[in-house]
Amino acid sequence: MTATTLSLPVERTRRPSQSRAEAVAAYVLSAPAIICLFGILLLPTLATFVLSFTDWQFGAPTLRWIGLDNYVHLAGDRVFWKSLTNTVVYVAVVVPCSVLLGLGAALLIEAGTSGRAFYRAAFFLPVTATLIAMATVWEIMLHPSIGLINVLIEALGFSKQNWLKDPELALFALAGIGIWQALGLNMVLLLAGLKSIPRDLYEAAAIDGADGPWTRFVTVTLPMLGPALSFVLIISAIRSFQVFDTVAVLTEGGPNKATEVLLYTMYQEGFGFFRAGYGAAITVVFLVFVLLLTLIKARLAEKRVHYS
Amino acid sequence: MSGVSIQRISKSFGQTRVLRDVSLEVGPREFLTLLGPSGCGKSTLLRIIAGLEQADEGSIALGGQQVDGLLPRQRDVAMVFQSYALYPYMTVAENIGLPLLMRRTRAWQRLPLIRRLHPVARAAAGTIATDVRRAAEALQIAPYLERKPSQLSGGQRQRVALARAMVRNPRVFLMDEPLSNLDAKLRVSARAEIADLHRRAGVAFIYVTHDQAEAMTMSDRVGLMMDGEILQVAPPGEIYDEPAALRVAEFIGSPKINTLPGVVRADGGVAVPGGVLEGGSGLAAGTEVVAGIRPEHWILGMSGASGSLGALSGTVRHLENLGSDLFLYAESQGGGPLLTVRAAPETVRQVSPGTAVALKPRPGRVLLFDRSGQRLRARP
Repeated sequence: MTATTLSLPVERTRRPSQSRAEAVAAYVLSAPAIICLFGILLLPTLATFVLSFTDWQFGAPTLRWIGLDNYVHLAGDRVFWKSLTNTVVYVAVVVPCSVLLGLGAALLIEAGTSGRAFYRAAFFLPVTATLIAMATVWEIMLHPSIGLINVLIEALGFSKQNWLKDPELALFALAGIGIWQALGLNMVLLLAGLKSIPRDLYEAAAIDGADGPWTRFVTVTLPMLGPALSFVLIISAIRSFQVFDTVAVLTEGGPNKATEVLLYTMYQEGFGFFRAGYGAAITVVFLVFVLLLTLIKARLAEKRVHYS
Repeated sequence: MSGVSIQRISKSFGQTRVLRDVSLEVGPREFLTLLGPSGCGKSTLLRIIAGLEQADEGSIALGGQQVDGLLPRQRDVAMVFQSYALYPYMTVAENIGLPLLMRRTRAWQRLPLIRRLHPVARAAAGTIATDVRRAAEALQIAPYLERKPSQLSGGQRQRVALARAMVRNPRVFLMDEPLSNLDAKLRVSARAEIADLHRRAGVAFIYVTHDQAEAMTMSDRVGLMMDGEILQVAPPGEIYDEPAALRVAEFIGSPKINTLPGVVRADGGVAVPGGVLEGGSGLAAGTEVVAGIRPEHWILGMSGASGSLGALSGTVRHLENLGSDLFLYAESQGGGPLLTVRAAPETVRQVSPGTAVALKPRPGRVLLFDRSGQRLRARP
């Protein structure tokens, strides 16, 4: 995070005492924002970072500095590696699917003439719903014997699956729920992006000969959607890195750690086993990933995708 | 063979009729300007010619070929938009070259890797680069070919839009207020450039604007549109001197034409409030008319001799000295709105607010309209 100084176009021909008074006033006025920024965002992050070098047990009166021990332990922890791999697989499935489906839905809605508001609201519904409550509904839907999904699959001639209990399938079942949930927000953001493309450009493209659906899409829509698309990609990546509630409600990391993900492991270590220091170390790893994505986003924002 | 032939076009958006039975012929090398206030339907007509809008009725032929139902691409027209509609993520060269790229290559030849490797695609890229450079040099934007539109000034962007239009030699140029985003000085020089472009291109231009200066300076003919109808199509001088309707006379000319309600007298003169406009109108006595006199068609007298036949008398209320021209705003004794009079700038030594003046129209310069606004051809 960087601090930027704003220079206001104020006359600079004042007496020194007056300019000092101005400086004091400036600090006093910005103090609430600075205090909040540090107190709510920066200090907790720093505290987590510091805690990750200690052996603090949640609620314990004392703690000991143990240096990199937590990280060394992490490097050899089979559960952590399983959890990290699962998280990356989850992100790798959810991000492309939810962005592509969101883009498809946005394009279809934008191209349609009637019922736009209905489709928009319908796709957006999962975003507004409480995921814990929705997870329970999904649990019933995915139920091995009475679940709607298995009933449908059987009607189509396939064999029933035990979605949440099969180690091969559980993570992808959760990813499916993740896509269902992320799709709506991606669609709304991309719809806004589509709306902001000037109609003139499509008309110029029509006259220039770029008028087939595919040519028009790659000549105008996709490049003009660049800013919105990169934002959506990064936001859905960060959000799917944070996957927690479906795991906690539906599988608790099982079966046999098949759905163990970073935040769930962190939660287990920190609040299940009370190893707060170790949990903090996992959080730091998690933060590094999110920070990396944020950096990519900032870099993308600088280059290419913005044209103004 | 005609350049553009527009037959009885009508168009409605919902309940609003924006074009009513519009017909127009544009010569193969003609520069025709559609002039009118905003909302008169001129842009819609242009977009129908381009194929961006479908007409409800009527048909259009370009170069003798019916184009109704054809896509914009198939009509072989070029269009310059008010916003320029440049692709912001492409360089100037890519912007200008896009119409050529789309016509000279197939979709699969434009795919990233194939574009560089396939012989046809590479050959096309070579000829496109040559043509783009030629167009850019003609419009003096060759030094900016590798820049993005956002790095260019308004005038340069406008030239890029023109270059993109001229690069593939279309059979008609359509321009939708291409100068309205430029500042006043640039607009004057851009006018000369577009007129020059027209001479070199040698094809029909249809130019839409609400600015009469653009219409008068560049066009071979001006089509004046109001409320979805073309009121008159004529060369600039004729549309100014011989307007077909009062609305045309009022729209063209700045300051606006003076209008006086009057009645034709037995001797052919026209009685207006405060005086009589002399001369044989050839109209039946008692005909109710509106007399229009342009500001430069008054003869200004200093006598102040009131009531003398064939003259109006009034009092100067306000002066505008533009250096090259002096405009007097005089209150007629007969009342009504202030009369606008153009006088030589030297006159400023003789008049000031409050000066009594006598006004007489130049012989043969009174335009008569009936009370519905239609031109009456005989003059007083």
